Amino acid sequence: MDSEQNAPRPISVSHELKSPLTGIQMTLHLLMEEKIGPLNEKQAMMVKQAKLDCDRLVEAISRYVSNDKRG
Amino acid sequence: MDILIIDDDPGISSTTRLAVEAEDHYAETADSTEAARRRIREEKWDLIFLDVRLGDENGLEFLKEILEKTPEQLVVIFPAFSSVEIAIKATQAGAFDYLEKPFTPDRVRGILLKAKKALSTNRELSTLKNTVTELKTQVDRSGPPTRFESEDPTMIATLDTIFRAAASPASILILGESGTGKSVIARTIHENSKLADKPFVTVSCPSLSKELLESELFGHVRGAFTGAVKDQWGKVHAADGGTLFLDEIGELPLSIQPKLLRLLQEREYERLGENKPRKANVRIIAATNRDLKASVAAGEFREDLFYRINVISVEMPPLRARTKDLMGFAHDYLDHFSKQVGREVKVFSAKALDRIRTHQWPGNLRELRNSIERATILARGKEIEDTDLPSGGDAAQTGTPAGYVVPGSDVTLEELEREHIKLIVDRVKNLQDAAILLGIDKATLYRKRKKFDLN
Repeated sequence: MDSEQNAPRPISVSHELKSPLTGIQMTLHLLMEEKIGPLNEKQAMMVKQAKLDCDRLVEAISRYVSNDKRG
Repeated sequence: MDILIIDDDPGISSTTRLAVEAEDHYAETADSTEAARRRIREEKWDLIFLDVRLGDENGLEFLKEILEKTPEQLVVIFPAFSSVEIAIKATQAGAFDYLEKPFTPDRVRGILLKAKKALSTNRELSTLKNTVTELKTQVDRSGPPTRFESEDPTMIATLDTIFRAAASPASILILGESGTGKSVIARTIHENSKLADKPFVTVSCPSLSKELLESELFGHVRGAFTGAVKDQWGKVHAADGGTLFLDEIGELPLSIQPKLLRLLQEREYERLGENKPRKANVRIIAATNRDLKASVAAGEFREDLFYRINVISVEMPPLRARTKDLMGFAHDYLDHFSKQVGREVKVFSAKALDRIRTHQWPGNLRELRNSIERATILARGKEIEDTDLPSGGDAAQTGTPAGYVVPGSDVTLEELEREHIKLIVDRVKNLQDAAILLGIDKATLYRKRKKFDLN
Protein backbone atom coordinates (compact mmCIF):
# COMPACT_ATOMS: atom_id res chain seq x y z
CA MET A 1 0.00 0.00 0.00
CA ASP A 2 2.79 2.43 1.06
CA SER A 3 4.89 1.72 -1.98
CA GLU A 4 1.88 2.40 -4.22
CA GLN A 5 1.27 5.78 -2.55
CA ASN A 6 4.95 6.81 -2.90
CA ALA A 7 5.14 5.77 -6.54
CA PRO A 8 5.27 8.77 -8.90
CA ARG A 9 2.06 9.55 -10.80
CA PRO A 10 2.26 8.76 -14.53
CA ILE A 11 1.56 12.41 -15.44
CA SER A 12 4.61 13.52 -13.43
CA VAL A 13 6.68 10.75 -15.01
CA SER A 14 5.47 11.99 -18.36
CA HIS A 15 6.87 15.49 -17.68
CA GLU A 16 10.16 14.14 -16.37
CA LEU A 17 10.50 12.18 -19.61
CA LYS A 18 9.15 14.77 -22.03
CA SER A 19 11.68 17.50 -21.24
CA PRO A 20 14.81 15.45 -22.05
CA LEU A 21 12.90 13.81 -24.89
CA THR A 22 12.33 17.26 -26.45
CA GLY A 23 16.08 17.89 -26.49
CA ILE A 24 16.73 14.47 -28.05
CA GLN A 25 13.95 14.82 -30.62
CA MET A 26 15.00 18.36 -31.63
CA THR A 27 18.64 17.26 -31.96
CA LEU A 28 17.76 14.26 -34.14
CA HIS A 29 15.46 16.32 -36.38
CA LEU A 30 18.04 19.10 -36.79
CA LEU A 31 20.70 16.49 -37.62
CA MET A 32 18.40 14.79 -40.13
CA GLU A 33 17.63 18.14 -41.77
CA GLU A 34 21.42 18.76 -41.90
CA LYS A 35 20.91 22.20 -40.32
CA ILE A 36 24.10 21.73 -38.31
CA GLY A 37 26.16 20.28 -41.14
CA PRO A 38 26.15 17.54 -43.78
CA LEU A 39 26.00 13.84 -42.75
CA ASN A 40 27.63 10.99 -44.57
CA GLU A 41 25.52 8.00 -45.62
CA LYS A 42 26.21 5.90 -42.51
CA GLN A 43 25.63 8.82 -40.13
CA ALA A 44 22.35 9.67 -41.89
CA MET A 45 21.20 6.04 -41.57
CA MET A 46 22.03 5.92 -37.85
CA VAL A 47 20.33 9.26 -37.14
CA LYS A 48 17.28 8.07 -39.07
CA GLN A 49 17.10 4.92 -36.96
CA ALA A 50 17.53 6.90 -33.74
CA LYS A 51 14.76 9.28 -34.85
CA LEU A 52 12.40 6.34 -35.51
CA ASP A 53 13.13 4.94 -32.01
CA CYS A 54 12.59 8.37 -30.52
CA ASP A 55 9.23 8.73 -32.34
CA ARG A 56 8.17 5.33 -30.92
CA LEU A 57 9.14 6.46 -27.45
CA VAL A 58 7.14 9.70 -27.80
CA GLU A 59 4.11 7.70 -28.94
CA ALA A 60 4.45 5.21 -26.07
CA ILE A 61 4.58 8.00 -23.48
CA SER A 62 1.51 9.69 -25.00
CA ARG A 63 -0.37 6.38 -24.84
CA TYR A 64 0.73 5.85 -21.24
CA VAL A 65 -0.53 9.30 -20.21
CA SER A 66 -3.90 8.93 -21.98
CA ASN A 67 -4.48 5.49 -20.38
CA ASP A 68 -3.72 7.01 -16.98
CA LYS A 69 -6.20 9.88 -17.59
CA ARG A 70 -8.92 7.37 -18.59
CA GLY A 71 -8.10 5.01 -15.73
CA MET B 1 13.53 38.60 -35.49
CA ASP B 2 15.31 38.82 -32.13
CA ILE B 3 14.26 35.90 -29.95
CA LEU B 4 14.86 35.09 -26.28
CA ILE B 5 14.50 31.46 -25.11
CA ILE B 6 13.90 31.08 -21.38
CA ASP B 7 14.31 27.48 -20.22
CA ASP B 8 16.47 25.87 -17.55
CA ASP B 9 16.83 22.68 -19.57
CA PRO B 10 20.00 23.12 -21.69
CA GLY B 11 18.87 20.40 -24.12
CA ILE B 12 15.69 22.29 -24.98
CA SER B 13 17.15 25.82 -24.99
CA SER B 14 20.20 24.96 -27.11
CA THR B 15 18.28 22.96 -29.73
CA THR B 16 15.49 25.56 -29.93
CA ARG B 17 18.17 28.20 -30.40
CA LEU B 18 19.74 26.18 -33.23
CA ALA B 19 16.35 25.77 -34.93
CA VAL B 20 15.71 29.52 -34.64
CA GLU B 21 19.17 30.50 -35.89
CA ALA B 22 18.84 28.10 -38.83
CA GLU B 23 15.93 30.30 -39.97
CA ASP B 24 18.19 33.38 -39.93
CA HIS B 25 16.90 34.89 -36.72
CA TYR B 26 18.94 36.11 -33.79
CA ALA B 27 18.52 34.07 -30.59
CA GLU B 28 19.75 34.16 -27.00
CA THR B 29 19.01 31.85 -24.09
CA ALA B 30 18.35 32.55 -20.39
CA ASP B 31 18.22 29.76 -17.80
CA SER B 32 16.41 31.65 -15.00
CA THR B 33 13.82 34.37 -14.54
CA GLU B 34 16.54 36.56 -13.06
CA ALA B 35 18.74 36.32 -16.17
CA ALA B 36 15.67 36.70 -18.40
CA ARG B 37 14.43 39.76 -16.48
CA ARG B 38 17.79 41.47 -17.05
CA ARG B 39 17.88 40.73 -20.80
CA ILE B 40 14.26 41.85 -21.21
CA ARG B 41 15.09 45.10 -19.43
CA GLU B 42 18.15 45.64 -21.62
CA GLU B 43 16.76 44.65 -25.02
CA LYS B 44 13.62 44.66 -27.10
CA TRP B 45 12.68 41.09 -28.13
CA ASP B 46 10.38 40.29 -31.02
CA LEU B 47 9.49 36.91 -29.54
CA ILE B 48 10.07 35.11 -26.24
CA PHE B 49 9.87 31.34 -25.65
CA LEU B 50 9.14 30.68 -21.99
CA ASP B 51 9.08 27.40 -20.06
CA VAL B 52 6.22 27.28 -17.59
CA ARG B 53 8.28 25.26 -15.10
CA LEU B 54 11.56 27.05 -14.46
CA GLY B 55 13.10 25.16 -11.53
CA ASP B 56 11.05 26.24 -8.52
CA GLU B 57 9.66 29.28 -10.30
CA ASN B 58 6.29 29.60 -11.96
CA GLY B 59 6.60 30.59 -15.63
CA LEU B 60 2.97 31.72 -15.77
CA GLU B 61 3.64 34.32 -13.06
CA PHE B 62 6.67 35.49 -15.02
CA LEU B 63 4.52 35.68 -18.18
CA LYS B 64 2.13 38.04 -16.33
CA GLU B 65 5.08 40.13 -15.15
CA ILE B 66 6.41 40.48 -18.72
CA LEU B 67 3.02 41.40 -20.17
CA GLU B 68 2.30 43.94 -17.44
CA LYS B 69 5.37 45.90 -18.53
CA THR B 70 5.09 45.29 -22.29
CA PRO B 71 1.56 44.19 -23.22
CA GLU B 72 2.42 43.88 -26.93
CA GLN B 73 5.26 41.37 -26.28
CA LEU B 74 4.81 38.04 -28.10
CA VAL B 75 5.42 35.14 -25.67
CA VAL B 76 5.18 31.46 -26.57
CA ILE B 77 5.05 29.11 -23.59
CA PHE B 78 6.32 25.57 -23.20
CA PRO B 79 3.65 24.01 -20.93
CA ALA B 80 4.99 21.66 -18.26
CA PHE B 81 2.29 19.11 -19.01
CA SER B 82 0.17 18.47 -22.00
CA SER B 83 -2.83 20.18 -20.54
CA VAL B 84 -5.64 22.15 -22.13
CA GLU B 85 -6.13 23.88 -18.79
CA ILE B 86 -2.60 25.35 -18.80
CA ALA B 87 -2.90 26.37 -22.44
CA ILE B 88 -6.16 28.21 -21.64
CA LYS B 89 -4.62 29.86 -18.57
CA ALA B 90 -1.61 30.99 -20.58
CA THR B 91 -3.76 32.34 -23.40
CA GLN B 92 -5.95 34.18 -20.91
CA ALA B 93 -2.81 35.67 -19.39
CA GLY B 94 -1.91 36.97 -22.87
CA ALA B 95 0.47 34.30 -24.26
CA PHE B 96 0.77 34.46 -28.04
CA ASP B 97 0.85 30.65 -28.43
CA TYR B 98 2.09 27.48 -26.76
CA LEU B 99 4.43 24.72 -27.85
CA GLU B 100 3.69 21.32 -26.38
CA LYS B 101 6.65 19.09 -25.47
CA PRO B 102 8.16 17.15 -27.10
CA PHE B 103 8.18 19.47 -30.12
CA THR B 104 10.09 19.39 -33.41
CA PRO B 105 11.92 22.05 -35.46
CA ASP B 106 8.88 22.09 -37.79
CA ARG B 107 6.63 23.24 -34.94
CA VAL B 108 9.18 25.92 -33.99
CA ARG B 109 9.25 27.12 -37.62
CA GLY B 110 5.45 27.28 -37.65
CA ILE B 111 5.50 29.50 -34.56
CA LEU B 112 8.18 31.73 -36.11
CA LEU B 113 6.09 32.27 -39.24
CA LYS B 114 3.01 33.07 -37.18
CA ALA B 115 4.99 35.52 -35.02
CA LYS B 116 6.49 37.20 -38.06
CA LYS B 117 3.04 37.74 -39.50
CA ALA B 118 1.71 39.11 -36.20
CA LEU B 119 4.69 41.47 -35.90
CA SER B 120 4.17 42.67 -39.44
CA THR B 121 0.49 43.37 -38.67
CA ASN B 122 1.51 45.21 -35.49
CA ARG B 123 4.04 47.20 -37.45
CA GLU B 124 1.47 48.07 -40.13
CA LEU B 125 -0.85 49.29 -37.39
CA SER B 126 1.91 51.35 -35.86
CA THR B 127 2.82 52.77 -39.31
CA LEU B 128 -0.85 53.67 -39.83
CA LYS B 129 -0.93 55.38 -36.43
CA ASN B 130 2.24 57.33 -37.33
CA THR B 131 0.78 58.27 -40.70
CA VAL B 132 -2.39 59.56 -39.06
CA THR B 133 -0.34 61.58 -36.55
CA GLU B 134 1.83 62.94 -39.34
CA LEU B 135 -1.17 63.81 -41.50
CA LYS B 136 -2.76 65.57 -38.54
CA THR B 137 0.43 67.58 -38.06
CA GLN B 138 0.51 68.37 -41.78
CA VAL B 139 -3.10 69.51 -41.72
CA ASP B 140 -2.38 71.65 -38.67
CA ARG B 141 0.63 73.23 -40.31
CA SER B 142 -0.90 72.78 -43.77
CA GLY B 143 1.79 73.65 -46.27
CA PRO B 144 1.02 74.58 -49.83
CA PRO B 145 0.17 71.77 -52.28
CA THR B 146 2.98 70.05 -54.11
CA ARG B 147 2.98 70.77 -57.83
CA PHE B 148 4.12 67.87 -59.96
CA GLU B 149 3.26 69.32 -63.36
CA SER B 150 6.15 71.01 -65.07
CA GLU B 151 6.81 72.69 -68.37
CA ASP B 152 10.53 72.68 -67.81
CA PRO B 153 12.25 69.99 -69.93
CA THR B 154 14.82 69.09 -67.22
CA MET B 155 12.11 68.77 -64.58
CA ILE B 156 9.86 66.77 -66.92
CA ALA B 157 12.74 64.30 -67.42
CA THR B 158 13.41 64.24 -63.66
CA LEU B 159 9.77 63.50 -62.83
CA ASP B 160 9.61 60.83 -65.50
CA THR B 161 12.67 59.07 -64.04
CA ILE B 162 11.31 59.41 -60.50
CA PHE B 163 7.94 57.84 -61.24
CA ARG B 164 9.48 55.01 -63.29
CA ALA B 165 12.15 54.26 -60.67
CA ALA B 166 9.79 54.50 -57.68
CA ALA B 167 8.35 51.01 -58.18
CA SER B 168 11.77 49.34 -58.19
CA PRO B 169 13.68 48.67 -54.95
CA ALA B 170 16.79 50.42 -56.33
CA SER B 171 18.59 53.11 -54.36
CA ILE B 172 17.96 56.61 -55.64
CA LEU B 173 20.22 59.63 -55.32
CA ILE B 174 18.53 63.04 -55.56
CA LEU B 175 20.84 65.89 -56.44
CA GLY B 176 20.10 69.57 -56.28
CA GLU B 177 20.58 72.81 -54.43
CA SER B 178 18.99 73.44 -51.04
CA GLY B 179 15.31 74.22 -51.25
CA THR B 180 14.66 72.54 -54.59
CA GLY B 181 12.25 70.04 -53.01
CA LYS B 182 14.49 66.97 -52.59
CA SER B 183 12.71 65.83 -49.40
CA VAL B 184 9.29 66.16 -51.04
CA ILE B 185 10.50 64.11 -53.99
CA ALA B 186 11.96 61.44 -51.66
CA ARG B 187 8.58 61.05 -49.96
CA THR B 188 6.82 60.99 -53.33
CA ILE B 189 9.09 58.15 -54.46
CA HIS B 190 8.23 56.23 -51.29
CA GLU B 191 4.49 56.87 -51.71
CA ASN B 192 4.64 55.59 -55.28
CA SER B 193 6.63 52.48 -54.40
CA LYS B 194 5.55 49.04 -53.24
CA LEU B 195 6.65 50.10 -49.75
CA ALA B 196 4.07 52.90 -49.52
CA ASP B 197 2.35 51.29 -46.51
CA LYS B 198 5.69 50.69 -44.76
CA PRO B 199 7.66 53.23 -42.72
CA PHE B 200 9.36 56.27 -44.30
CA VAL B 201 12.13 57.44 -41.98
CA THR B 202 14.27 60.54 -42.48
CA VAL B 203 17.78 61.06 -41.15
CA SER B 204 19.29 64.49 -41.54
CA CYS B 205 23.02 63.77 -41.80
CA PRO B 206 24.45 67.22 -40.97
CA SER B 207 22.23 67.91 -37.97
CA LEU B 208 24.12 65.79 -35.42
CA SER B 209 27.65 65.07 -34.23
CA LYS B 210 29.39 61.97 -35.61
CA GLU B 211 28.68 59.86 -32.53
CA LEU B 212 25.05 60.94 -32.21
CA LEU B 213 24.44 60.46 -35.92
CA GLU B 214 25.82 56.91 -35.76
CA SER B 215 23.59 56.22 -32.77
CA GLU B 216 20.57 57.82 -34.45
CA LEU B 217 21.13 55.62 -37.50
CA PHE B 218 22.07 52.29 -35.97
CA GLY B 219 21.05 52.62 -32.30
CA HIS B 220 23.23 51.93 -29.27
CA VAL B 221 23.47 49.83 -26.14
CA ARG B 222 23.70 51.13 -22.60
CA GLY B 223 27.17 52.51 -21.83
CA ALA B 224 28.20 52.77 -25.51
CA PHE B 225 29.09 56.41 -24.88
CA THR B 226 28.64 59.04 -22.17
CA GLY B 227 24.93 59.63 -21.77
CA ALA B 228 23.86 56.28 -23.24
CA VAL B 229 21.84 55.29 -20.19
CA LYS B 230 19.72 52.66 -21.87
CA ASP B 231 19.56 50.54 -25.00
CA GLN B 232 18.16 52.34 -28.00
CA TRP B 233 17.11 51.21 -31.45
CA GLY B 234 18.10 53.41 -34.37
CA LYS B 235 16.31 54.70 -37.43
CA VAL B 236 17.54 51.76 -39.52
CA HIS B 237 15.49 49.50 -37.25
CA ALA B 238 12.52 51.88 -37.45
CA ALA B 239 12.74 51.87 -41.25
CA ASP B 240 13.07 48.07 -41.55
CA GLY B 241 10.90 46.92 -44.45
CA GLY B 242 10.41 50.49 -45.65
CA THR B 243 12.42 53.48 -46.87
CA LEU B 244 15.31 55.24 -45.17
CA PHE B 245 15.80 58.77 -46.49
CA LEU B 246 19.31 60.11 -45.88
CA ASP B 247 19.12 63.85 -46.32
CA GLU B 248 22.38 65.64 -47.18
CA ILE B 249 24.32 62.37 -47.43
CA GLY B 250 27.35 64.33 -48.63
CA GLU B 251 27.83 65.35 -44.98
CA LEU B 252 27.95 61.74 -43.74
CA PRO B 253 31.25 61.32 -41.83
CA LEU B 254 33.80 58.99 -43.46
CA SER B 255 33.88 56.75 -40.38
CA ILE B 256 30.14 55.94 -40.70
CA GLN B 257 30.24 55.35 -44.46
CA PRO B 258 31.55 51.71 -44.29
CA LYS B 259 28.67 50.84 -41.92
CA LEU B 260 26.12 52.25 -44.32
CA LEU B 261 27.79 50.36 -47.16
CA ARG B 262 27.53 47.13 -45.15
CA LEU B 263 23.83 47.80 -44.57
CA LEU B 264 23.32 48.30 -48.29
CA GLN B 265 25.36 45.30 -49.40
CA GLU B 266 24.73 42.72 -46.69
CA ARG B 267 21.54 44.14 -45.10
CA GLU B 268 23.38 43.94 -41.79
CA TYR B 269 24.42 46.44 -39.14
CA GLU B 270 25.49 46.60 -35.52
CA ARG B 271 24.33 48.91 -32.79
CA LEU B 272 26.92 51.21 -31.24
CA GLY B 273 28.79 49.38 -28.45
CA GLU B 274 27.55 45.95 -29.50
CA ASN B 275 29.03 43.14 -31.58
CA LYS B 276 25.84 41.41 -32.65
CA PRO B 277 24.95 41.67 -36.32
CA ARG B 278 21.33 42.74 -36.87
CA LYS B 279 19.32 42.34 -40.04
CA ALA B 280 17.44 45.19 -41.70
CA ASN B 281 15.97 45.47 -45.16
CA VAL B 282 15.64 49.11 -46.13
CA ARG B 283 15.39 50.96 -49.41
CA ILE B 284 17.76 53.90 -49.43
CA ILE B 285 16.91 57.26 -50.93
CA ALA B 286 19.67 59.81 -50.48
CA ALA B 287 19.85 63.50 -51.27
CA THR B 288 22.68 65.98 -51.44
CA ASN B 289 23.49 69.46 -52.66
CA ARG B 290 27.14 68.50 -52.94
CA ASP B 291 29.02 67.32 -55.99
CA LEU B 292 29.57 63.79 -54.70
CA LYS B 293 31.98 62.90 -57.49
CA ALA B 294 34.18 65.78 -56.38
CA SER B 295 33.85 64.57 -52.77
CA VAL B 296 34.99 61.10 -53.92
CA ALA B 297 37.97 62.66 -55.72
CA ALA B 298 38.81 64.67 -52.59
CA GLY B 299 38.71 61.50 -50.47
CA GLU B 300 35.74 62.74 -48.44
CA PHE B 301 33.27 60.20 -49.74
CA ARG B 302 33.81 56.49 -50.40
CA GLU B 303 33.73 55.58 -54.05
CA ASP B 304 32.08 52.17 -53.41
CA LEU B 305 29.31 53.82 -51.37
CA PHE B 306 28.83 56.46 -54.06
CA TYR B 307 28.25 53.79 -56.72
CA ARG B 308 25.99 51.83 -54.38
CA ILE B 309 23.63 54.76 -53.73
CA ASN B 310 23.94 56.15 -57.23
CA VAL B 311 22.04 53.32 -58.96
CA ILE B 312 19.54 55.88 -60.21
CA SER B 313 20.20 59.57 -59.83
CA VAL B 314 17.94 62.49 -60.55
CA GLU B 315 18.76 66.17 -60.60
CA MET B 316 16.36 68.73 -59.22
CA PRO B 317 16.94 71.87 -61.30
CA PRO B 318 17.21 75.19 -59.42
CA LEU B 319 14.11 77.36 -59.50
CA ARG B 320 15.87 80.06 -61.57
CA ALA B 321 16.26 77.48 -64.35
CA ARG B 322 12.55 76.54 -64.17
CA THR B 323 11.36 79.81 -65.61
CA LYS B 324 8.28 78.18 -67.11
CA ASP B 325 7.19 76.77 -63.75
CA LEU B 326 8.06 79.75 -61.60
CA MET B 327 4.80 81.70 -61.93
CA GLY B 328 2.74 78.55 -61.37
CA PHE B 329 4.47 78.01 -58.03
CA ALA B 330 4.04 81.69 -57.10
CA HIS B 331 0.29 81.58 -57.76
CA ASP B 332 -0.11 78.25 -55.91
CA TYR B 333 1.63 79.68 -52.85
CA LEU B 334 -0.34 82.92 -52.95
CA ASP B 335 -3.62 81.02 -53.23
CA HIS B 336 -2.65 78.77 -50.32
CA PHE B 337 -1.34 81.43 -47.93
CA SER B 338 -4.15 83.91 -48.59
CA LYS B 339 -6.60 81.19 -47.50
CA GLN B 340 -4.43 80.18 -44.55
CA VAL B 341 -4.08 83.69 -43.14
CA GLY B 342 -7.67 84.57 -44.12
CA ARG B 343 -6.83 87.55 -46.32
CA GLU B 344 -8.29 88.59 -49.65
CA VAL B 345 -4.87 88.90 -51.30
CA LYS B 346 -5.38 87.17 -54.62
CA VAL B 347 -3.07 88.83 -57.17
CA PHE B 348 0.41 90.14 -57.74
CA SER B 349 0.90 93.65 -59.10
CA ALA B 350 2.67 93.96 -62.46
CA LYS B 351 5.83 95.11 -60.69
CA ALA B 352 5.62 92.20 -58.23
CA LEU B 353 5.33 89.75 -61.12
CA ASP B 354 8.37 91.34 -62.65
CA ARG B 355 10.28 91.02 -59.37
CA ILE B 356 9.39 87.33 -59.14
CA ARG B 357 10.53 86.79 -62.73
CA THR B 358 13.86 88.61 -62.36
CA HIS B 359 14.84 87.53 -58.85
CA GLN B 360 17.30 84.65 -58.93
CA TRP B 361 15.74 82.69 -56.04
CA PRO B 362 19.02 81.25 -54.68
CA GLY B 363 17.04 79.60 -51.87
CA ASN B 364 14.82 78.03 -54.53
CA LEU B 365 11.26 76.86 -53.72
CA ARG B 366 11.82 77.29 -49.99
CA GLU B 367 12.74 80.95 -50.49
CA LEU B 368 9.80 81.55 -52.86
CA ARG B 369 7.39 79.91 -50.42
CA ASN B 370 8.65 81.92 -47.43
CA SER B 371 8.71 85.17 -49.42
CA ILE B 372 5.13 84.76 -50.57
CA GLU B 373 3.93 83.73 -47.12
CA ARG B 374 5.57 86.85 -45.69
CA ALA B 375 4.22 89.05 -48.51
CA THR B 376 0.68 87.72 -48.02
CA ILE B 377 0.79 88.62 -44.33
CA LEU B 378 2.37 92.05 -44.87
CA ALA B 379 0.46 93.14 -48.01
CA ARG B 380 -1.33 96.48 -47.42
CA GLY B 381 -4.08 95.96 -49.98
CA LYS B 382 -5.51 93.19 -52.09
CA GLU B 383 -2.40 92.99 -54.26
CA ILE B 384 1.11 91.86 -53.48
CA GLU B 385 3.43 94.73 -54.37
CA ASP B 386 7.04 94.39 -55.48
CA THR B 387 8.10 96.03 -52.21
CA ASP B 388 6.53 93.12 -50.29
CA LEU B 389 8.92 90.72 -52.05
CA PRO B 390 12.67 90.26 -51.60
CA SER B 391 15.00 92.36 -53.70
CA GLY B 392 18.09 90.90 -55.35
CA GLY B 393 20.16 92.00 -52.35
CA ASP B 394 18.35 89.60 -50.03
CA ALA B 395 19.91 86.69 -51.85
CA ALA B 396 23.23 87.32 -50.16
CA GLN B 397 21.66 86.14 -46.89
CA THR B 398 21.27 82.64 -48.25
CA GLY B 399 24.96 82.26 -49.02
CA THR B 400 24.42 81.69 -52.74
CA PRO B 401 25.84 84.27 -55.13
CA ALA B 402 23.20 86.80 -56.13
CA GLY B 403 22.42 87.13 -59.81
CA TYR B 404 23.91 83.73 -60.52
CA VAL B 405 22.98 82.85 -64.07
CA VAL B 406 22.40 79.26 -65.05
CA PRO B 407 23.38 78.04 -68.51
CA GLY B 408 20.29 76.63 -70.18
CA SER B 409 17.88 78.98 -68.40
CA ASP B 410 16.26 81.98 -70.10
CA VAL B 411 19.35 84.17 -70.27
CA THR B 412 21.11 85.87 -73.14
CA LEU B 413 24.66 85.04 -74.17
CA GLU B 414 25.66 88.50 -73.02
CA GLU B 415 24.23 87.94 -69.53
CA LEU B 416 25.99 84.58 -69.38
CA GLU B 417 29.29 86.11 -70.48
CA ARG B 418 29.01 88.96 -67.97
CA GLU B 419 28.27 86.54 -65.11
CA HIS B 420 31.13 84.22 -66.02
CA ILE B 421 33.68 87.03 -66.24
CA LYS B 422 32.44 88.48 -62.94
CA LEU B 423 32.77 85.15 -61.10
CA ILE B 424 36.26 84.46 -62.48
CA VAL B 425 37.54 87.96 -61.67
CA ASP B 426 36.10 87.71 -58.15
CA ARG B 427 37.73 84.33 -57.60
CA VAL B 428 41.32 84.73 -58.89
CA LYS B 429 43.99 86.96 -57.44
CA ASN B 430 44.76 89.19 -60.43
CA LEU B 431 43.50 90.15 -63.87
CA GLN B 432 46.37 88.38 -65.64
CA ASP B 433 45.31 85.03 -64.15
CA ALA B 434 41.65 85.80 -64.89
CA ALA B 435 42.48 86.51 -68.55
CA ILE B 436 44.42 83.23 -68.83
CA LEU B 437 41.49 81.30 -67.33
CA LEU B 438 39.03 83.00 -69.66
CA GLY B 439 41.23 82.31 -72.69
CA ILE B 440 41.44 85.98 -73.70
CA ASP B 441 44.18 88.58 -73.50
CA LYS B 442 44.34 91.20 -70.76
CA ALA B 443 43.26 94.04 -73.09
CA THR B 444 40.10 92.16 -74.14
CA LEU B 445 39.31 91.47 -70.51
CA TYR B 446 39.72 95.18 -69.75
CA ARG B 447 37.29 96.10 -72.57
CA LYS B 448 34.73 93.54 -71.47
CA ARG B 449 34.86 94.63 -67.84
CA LYS B 450 34.25 98.19 -69.00
CA LYS B 451 31.39 97.10 -71.26
CA PHE B 452 29.71 95.06 -68.52
CA ASP B 453 30.42 97.67 -65.87
CA LEU B 454 32.45 95.26 -63.77
CA ASN B 455 35.04 97.69 -62.50
